[in-house]
Amino acid sequence: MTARLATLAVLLGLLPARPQEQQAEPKSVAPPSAEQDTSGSVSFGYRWVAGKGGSEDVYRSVVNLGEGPKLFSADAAVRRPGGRWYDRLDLHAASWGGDPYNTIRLDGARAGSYAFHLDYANIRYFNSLPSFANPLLGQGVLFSQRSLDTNRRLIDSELEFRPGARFSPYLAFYHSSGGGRGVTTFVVDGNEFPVGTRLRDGSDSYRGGLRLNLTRLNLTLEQGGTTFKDDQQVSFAGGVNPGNRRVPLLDQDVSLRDLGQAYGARGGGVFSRGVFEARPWSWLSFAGQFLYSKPHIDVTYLQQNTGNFVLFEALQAFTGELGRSLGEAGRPRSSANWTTEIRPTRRARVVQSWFTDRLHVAGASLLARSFVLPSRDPLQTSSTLSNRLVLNLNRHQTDGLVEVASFLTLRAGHRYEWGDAASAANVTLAPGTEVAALRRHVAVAGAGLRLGSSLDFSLDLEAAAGDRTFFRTDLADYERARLRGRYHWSRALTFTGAFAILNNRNAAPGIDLEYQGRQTSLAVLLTPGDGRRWSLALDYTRATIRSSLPYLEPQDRVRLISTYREDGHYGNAMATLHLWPRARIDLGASLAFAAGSRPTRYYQPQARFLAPVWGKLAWQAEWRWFGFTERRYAFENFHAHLLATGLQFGF
Amino acid sequence: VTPAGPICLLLLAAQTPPPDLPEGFVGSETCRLCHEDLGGEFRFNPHFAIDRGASKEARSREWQGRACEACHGPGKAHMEAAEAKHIFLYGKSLRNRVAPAAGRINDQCLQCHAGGLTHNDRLLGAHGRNGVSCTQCHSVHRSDRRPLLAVEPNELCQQCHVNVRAEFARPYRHRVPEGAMGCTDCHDPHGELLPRQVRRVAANETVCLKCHGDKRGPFPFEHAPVRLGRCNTCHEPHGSMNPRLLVRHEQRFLCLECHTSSLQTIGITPPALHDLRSPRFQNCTICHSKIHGSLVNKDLLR
Repeated sequence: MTARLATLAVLLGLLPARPQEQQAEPKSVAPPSAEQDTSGSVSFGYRWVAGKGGSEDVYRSVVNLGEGPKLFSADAAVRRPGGRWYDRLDLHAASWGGDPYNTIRLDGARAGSYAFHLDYANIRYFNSLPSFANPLLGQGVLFSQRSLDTNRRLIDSELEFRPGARFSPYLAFYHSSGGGRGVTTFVVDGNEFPVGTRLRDGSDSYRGGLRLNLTRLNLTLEQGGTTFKDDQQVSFAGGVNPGNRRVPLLDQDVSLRDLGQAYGARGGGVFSRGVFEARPWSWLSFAGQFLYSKPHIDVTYLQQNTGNFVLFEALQAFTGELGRSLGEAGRPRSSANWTTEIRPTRRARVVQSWFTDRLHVAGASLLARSFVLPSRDPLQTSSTLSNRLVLNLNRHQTDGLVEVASFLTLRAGHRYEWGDAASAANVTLAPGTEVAALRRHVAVAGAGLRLGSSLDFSLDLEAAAGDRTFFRTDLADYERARLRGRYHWSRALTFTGAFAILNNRNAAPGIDLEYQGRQTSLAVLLTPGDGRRWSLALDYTRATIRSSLPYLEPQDRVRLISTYREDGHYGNAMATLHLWPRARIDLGASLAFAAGSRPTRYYQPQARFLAPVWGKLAWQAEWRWFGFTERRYAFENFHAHLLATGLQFGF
Repeated sequence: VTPAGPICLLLLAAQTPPPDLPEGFVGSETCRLCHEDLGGEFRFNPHFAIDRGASKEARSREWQGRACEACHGPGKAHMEAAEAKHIFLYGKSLRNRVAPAAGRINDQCLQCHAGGLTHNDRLLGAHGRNGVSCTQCHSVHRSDRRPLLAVEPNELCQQCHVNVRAEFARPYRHRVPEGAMGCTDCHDPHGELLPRQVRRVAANETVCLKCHGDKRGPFPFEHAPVRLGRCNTCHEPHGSMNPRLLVRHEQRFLCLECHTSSLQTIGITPPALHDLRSPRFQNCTICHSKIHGSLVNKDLLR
């Protein structure tokens, strides 16, 4: 009877025909080895920067998008279940053709054999803001003495063999290198001179490990090494650089005629990591890890400068200096963590964790200097300096989580943070070692609430009492609350809200910190008909910061108050309208208005149009506008229109 | 469920499961008869390796041909009654008004995914503590987005962290909106030892040093907050209205808030030669140019 009904269904097309033997042996489901799914898209075109006005330097510091032919993005995904060489390949490239952020990501895997990923990024970083690090601003000089025009290349790759198997080895490599030009300062007693610099640094990291995956135990052992180098050079030649000081010192103008500084740093180190998780019984889990790293560095430094200078220590003028320094530093660091999870009932969990972090930096430097004195023998000096930084940090936390009902989970716990830090004072005129301690008890609580099928809330609360902090600005006596919620009004309309508040006080003698931060956010997503015709996404955030912290003015030790205010309104909007099949208009904007200590407005409206041309070929056009205004630093304002057009090809 | 579904269920209910399947199981092929919308795409999904027996877990637990039931539990009762309550559902549905608690969902996923470094710190993470389940981010049946995410990674994070989206609307920011980097470059959504689930590099260094390698050191003369992993003492990592992502609008305030001698904290008042009435001393990094650590100079001057 059953077979007859099934045959009838097959004939009616209600059931696909299946070979009987396959039904009898479901374990040997045949892989569709020849099956392959390939998809992707390429988007390219040309961009114009039109109507640019205002500060070019600030435009480049904030936006930095330029003109020319561009590869906006390229994506490809290949799926080949049971393939001989791979199951899946994914390639994603974005922003090529002179844009400041070029990225490529490649992922490949074959189930049970390997998994591989490669990330490449080439980041152009330009920063030159006339209001930043510019002591001559009051004299009308719009030139930042801390400027950068650099590139950074990053490569991150990992290859894992037999992922998920009982023994799974892996290898990884990371490379970061940076280089470019910039402006920095050369500092002598009584004056500092803006000069050009060439930056070049690089670091590589190699690591390999073995993962052991058992039913109740997972263990990872990893060993790695790093190398580091820094070859910064600073130079000035040809002319007289008067520096920032415009009044004589010891009856002479302090000026720079010639400068060469060469930093040479070579470093390396090893690191180890052991990580495990055990689940001996269904009600008990352990997790732990031990991390150790020991980087070190050797330094050579050469400096020669000529001009008119003053040596404060000897109250003596000099015309040239030759300096050489040799130094080294090491930084062993050990970290460990142990976490226990107990599930006494199906609805309750207790999680207890302990974490410790111990760091010790020791550095030493030998500096030899030779000063050319007018009409006297050269003055030779040498000094040996050492530095030390120690940190011992510990954290213990216990959380209890109870699933009160299927729609409500409550959490409560306690965290204790303690530790000590010591730093050799970095100021020559006040040598000594500074010590500080951390001691903070934190009560934590939370709740997860799901009412019906459409309303989710999560609440996260912390209240702390601390009587020791490492720094004056640290969290001490604080209350923090975060509330997040999402409400699905209908399939087409979703509201998301978030509220966060942080109140921090430190009433310790000489500190008297008061901090209040609030963020209130609301987002709306409207997608009638699953967004087939149109959709709208809006979000708005109101964020305020009120901070007040007394400080001492160095010159007269008068107690003043550093106040910081930020009263910001931030919003994003994007409307999408589907005009006809595969034709679309996107209209949107991103806005940031902030009043307070640095009143700033930043607008980014944009519009995009996509229309099919032929087959999978589409034409796209984009307009973006950037408008940046600062009330206190109007010379930093800029605005620019960006127009782009091109083709998009899908496959 | 297609229009053919009810008829299929009736027909299949009368069938006897293949004799070599464990009691209560029906096999993935049977599931796909009704859930053909999932079945078609699923063959390109990494979890299809379970059906093919290409993973260790699949072989050791004899899950070949039963990928659906590996996650959703035995399907025979569900098939016979055509009711959702007979299988384990991860999300909400018309018949399943409330999704299971996050802990139960995660337990199911962690049967296979507990290994490796990815999930080792999950017990410490805010997502784990606040009941964020695996399926809130991962759409397990999909295959077109790595690693099976419901939407693009940055968009996914900002669906809940709406306030962070606002921070990236500020002019001075990390280039997340531009696509140069992503939330998961710095944060591990599965959990981490450090607060805010911030990742680490070279075993136990803060993730900032991954890109900002020139600040890695160690330096013979360190600036304490940098080395104590407190980059956010001075910088607002997502975005700021102040240059260089600083937390204060003027350098002198930023520096002097810590550099005022207090009992029991690190940071001492600078010597009196720092006359703040002069603009030269209002811009601290004009002289202290090696503010992140110096190779040569104790006062971070060169």
